[in-house]
Amino acid sequence: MKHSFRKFSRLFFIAFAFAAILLLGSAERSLAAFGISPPFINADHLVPGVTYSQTVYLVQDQPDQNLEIRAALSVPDHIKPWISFDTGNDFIIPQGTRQFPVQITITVPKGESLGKYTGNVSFQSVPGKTGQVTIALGVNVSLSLTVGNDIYEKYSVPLIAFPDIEEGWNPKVAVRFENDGNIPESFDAATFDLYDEYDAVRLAFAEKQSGFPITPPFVTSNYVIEFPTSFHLGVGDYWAVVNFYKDNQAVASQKTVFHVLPAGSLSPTGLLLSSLKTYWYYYLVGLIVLLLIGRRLWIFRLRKKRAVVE
Amino acid sequence: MDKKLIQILVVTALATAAFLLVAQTVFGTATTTSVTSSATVTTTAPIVSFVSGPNGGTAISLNANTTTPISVAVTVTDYNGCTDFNNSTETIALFRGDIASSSCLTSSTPNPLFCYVASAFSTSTCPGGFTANATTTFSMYYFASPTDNASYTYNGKGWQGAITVTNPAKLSVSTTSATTTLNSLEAISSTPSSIAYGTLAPAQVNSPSVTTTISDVGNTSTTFQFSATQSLTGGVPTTTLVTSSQQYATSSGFTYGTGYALSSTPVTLNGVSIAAPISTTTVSTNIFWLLQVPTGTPTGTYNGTNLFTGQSVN
Repeated sequence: MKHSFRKFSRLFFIAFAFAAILLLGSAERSLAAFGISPPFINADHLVPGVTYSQTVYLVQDQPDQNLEIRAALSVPDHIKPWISFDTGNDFIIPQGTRQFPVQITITVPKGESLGKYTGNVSFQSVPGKTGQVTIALGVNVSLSLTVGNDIYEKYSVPLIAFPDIEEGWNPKVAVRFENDGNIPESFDAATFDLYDEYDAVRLAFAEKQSGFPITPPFVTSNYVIEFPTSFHLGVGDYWAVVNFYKDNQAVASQKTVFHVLPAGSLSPTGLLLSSLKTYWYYYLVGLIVLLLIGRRLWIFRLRKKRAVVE
Repeated sequence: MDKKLIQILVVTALATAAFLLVAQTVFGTATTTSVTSSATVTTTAPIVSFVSGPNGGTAISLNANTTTPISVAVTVTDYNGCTDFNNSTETIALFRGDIASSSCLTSSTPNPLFCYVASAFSTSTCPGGFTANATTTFSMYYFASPTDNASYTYNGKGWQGAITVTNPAKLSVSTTSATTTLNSLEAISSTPSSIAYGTLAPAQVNSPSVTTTISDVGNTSTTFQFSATQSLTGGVPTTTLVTSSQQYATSSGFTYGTGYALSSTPVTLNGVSIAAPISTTTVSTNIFWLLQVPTGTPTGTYNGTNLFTGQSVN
């Protein structure tokens, strides 16, 4: 009885293992997802001589190995020389990268006549061989380009932030300026109101009428604007309101709290100055000791010299 | 006479001042009245502001077939101090711009196509004083609605953050952020990862057809193109089969000669597109494959590569 049970168990185990191998062997391996975001470039306001850039992201869900990519253009031959990729046409997405940026740049030659062009940029993955017919996945970026002679003005300011500063510094405002138009853009003026930590008392006001960075056509720029003020900002929290103007109209604003940190918190020079300020007596004692040692050495050398002469 | 009067006045003034000073010093404490002071500190509602739109104001690009961490950052000022902030409750939402913030914030079963809700900050610091910096990170699905194309329903709406903070005294405040564009994502996957036609004799066609399932794992509707980047090659002497030896179709019962012949240049499969997914439920289509080995093909193992290309439907 016991013997037959053991035999049955063994047979059951073998059958189970065989079934498992069959199931695993026939399991379909799916191909890692591959995609692009965004899958189009609509550059409708190009003008002769302008450069347009857009970043697209090649994405994958299983970045467990390097992935070879080939980019190819399918556009009228006339505009092929206009288009380039910062990665080149053949490149590798490193292992572990889910989103790989590719900057596509379109440079319209000066003197180019008006025109409208469409086509595709295709990105094709080159996977390792997986069977009789390996399946490679690809994605297309639709191109729609219009070369005209109009002035197109479009910009936005998606980010205005007040970075932390050190005590004694001037307030700073970080700006992201997205110029989607075909002419250079910049702010004309800006105002800065500084309030106490309770947003109750206005402590200072600063105004700028010039010196704003110019953002070229079709470019997003990030920069920091400093607002010099005679008010000494001590450590603590402050409220600030900043307004940016263009053509005498407020085009962007932000109101929030920012932090003023002790000197040396953000910059190494500030750290040294802060240390000197706080521990000046140690530095003074150290200096005196050094001077005394130097004097002693000098006297010692002088005596030695005299002894040699005598 | 006048001079003397002035001298007298000055001396008198000095003497009076000296007397008052001495009196204040000697008797001052004795004449001080003890006063008990008291004040009631009230609770103030927190003040909340978003640092920028979601993802730092930068257009969002999603990962294919999975989630992508997207953050929203806020500054919370509570004049009753960090303890009040730490004991506050908050609801944070990330939602498509056409949705009312309140409907997303109060949703018990948010639809990830357009609304994400969190009940706590992912990280927060209140370094003293009464202003805290906090961040909430949402896991955004690949099918979340894009807002970057004129042909889309929600073009230009963007995605926003919203927050409601309630302090221990039940004073609450809500606010919304600026919008951030959510980029379209064209992404596909295929199962299986290869086509196995098996062992065939010259002139023979595989039967049944081989099935490949292509899924849309992005947030746009997609069409497909098929081509061979490397025709089937093998045998002794090395031989390359004509690309059109492979045919494909959308119905499983197709016979060789009635399908689309594969070519070396990508060809769009007309009439076939997959709508963008609206949940984690897979949206896919089957493509069926047949191979006829040309007569005169030497025996051997043949390998090749077929390219499946996704093309977003704008």
